[in-house]
Amino acid sequence: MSKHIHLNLIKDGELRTSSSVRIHTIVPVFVGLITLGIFVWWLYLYLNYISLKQIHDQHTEIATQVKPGYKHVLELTAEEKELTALNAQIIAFDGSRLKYAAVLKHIPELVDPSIQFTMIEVTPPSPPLFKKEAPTSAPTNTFATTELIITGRAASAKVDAVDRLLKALNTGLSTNLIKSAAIPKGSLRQETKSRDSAGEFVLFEIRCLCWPRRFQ
Amino acid sequence: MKDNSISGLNLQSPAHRIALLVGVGLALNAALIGFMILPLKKRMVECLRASDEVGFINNRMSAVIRSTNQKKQNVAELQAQYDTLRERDVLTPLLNSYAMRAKRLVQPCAQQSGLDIENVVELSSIPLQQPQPLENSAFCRQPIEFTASGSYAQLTAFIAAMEEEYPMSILFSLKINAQQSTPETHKIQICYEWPAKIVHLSEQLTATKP
Repeated sequence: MSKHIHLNLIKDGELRTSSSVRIHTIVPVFVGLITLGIFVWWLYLYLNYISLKQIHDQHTEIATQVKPGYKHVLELTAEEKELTALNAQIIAFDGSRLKYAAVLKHIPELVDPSIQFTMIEVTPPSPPLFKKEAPTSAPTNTFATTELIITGRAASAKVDAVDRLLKALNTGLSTNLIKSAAIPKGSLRQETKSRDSAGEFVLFEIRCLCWPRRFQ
Repeated sequence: MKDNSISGLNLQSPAHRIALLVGVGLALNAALIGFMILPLKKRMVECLRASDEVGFINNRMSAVIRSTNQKKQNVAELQAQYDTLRERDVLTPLLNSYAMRAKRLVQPCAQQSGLDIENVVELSSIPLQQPQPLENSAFCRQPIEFTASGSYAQLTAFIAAMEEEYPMSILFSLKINAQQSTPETHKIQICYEWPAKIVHLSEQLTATKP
């Protein structure tokens, strides 16, 4: 029996697969397609980016056009705020008004002829309060109080007239001025008798607390 | 013999050539993604965000701009109110003197009532209290003290005339001293306060500059 020697003369690189789709072809094609896909993807993104940039540029241009108008409105708003604050300040002052004329005119009608006033005083309003830590800032309180002080003398025998005057000041003057009136302790006292005085007199002081001035 | 190998690859071999090609292709793809796609996406996101922001700001500005006419009307009304209040009520200095301005205002009322004004002094101004305190108040309370002589009736007539003529002048303080020598004529210290515009030194200098 003769021996058959099989010689494989085909190189490894020349070997062909039995499949109709060769791996040597399909892999490069696949890689090429991926590359193409990536390029298409980039192109799609780039076009989108260009479109977005155009929109952005349009918005920026609109903003540039709109800005002066907006700035004008901001200026108007600031002006409006400032004017409102200025008017409020004047109106706050107006709100603190107390009227004295009617009361002062009416007082002589309440006074008995035996009473003589020596002094009428309206005290300056209480000073505004400030924050201790910021004494130069705006005042913190919105009201100020003031007093109407009546000092006088009356015949000792007619001291009731002083009481009547006090009652009249407390009840008779229905105005926006006097809140309450009182003779402070020790303010009704005997006048030191002088040689030429015709009789005995008492000195008195009536303090009328006025309604507070409200800066509102 | 010609050396066609690159780090062990035999370029004569088609399999190796293809492997090399695929490797280069994949590297190119990775580079495309890393250097072109991702930066572009990042720029897109930034552009989108910036565009949205500008668009939002534009919308807001447009909405604000639509109120321009209303704002103009408000400002005009407030300005008119302010002008009226300032003209009628606020004390302005006469040649830098509030006292002289007050004297000029008060004089007709004094003459009408028969009160004799002898002296006028400008007292220190007082900060104006407000419901909502402002850091920079534009107005202060300016007390002006008058020394006068007259009867009680003349004084009350004067106070009534002042209240009628200048509603914003408020009686600040009053002192009537009876005098033994002239029982009908009293020595009167009467102080009125007005709202006054705070004039800063820099404004005064600017105003006086030729």
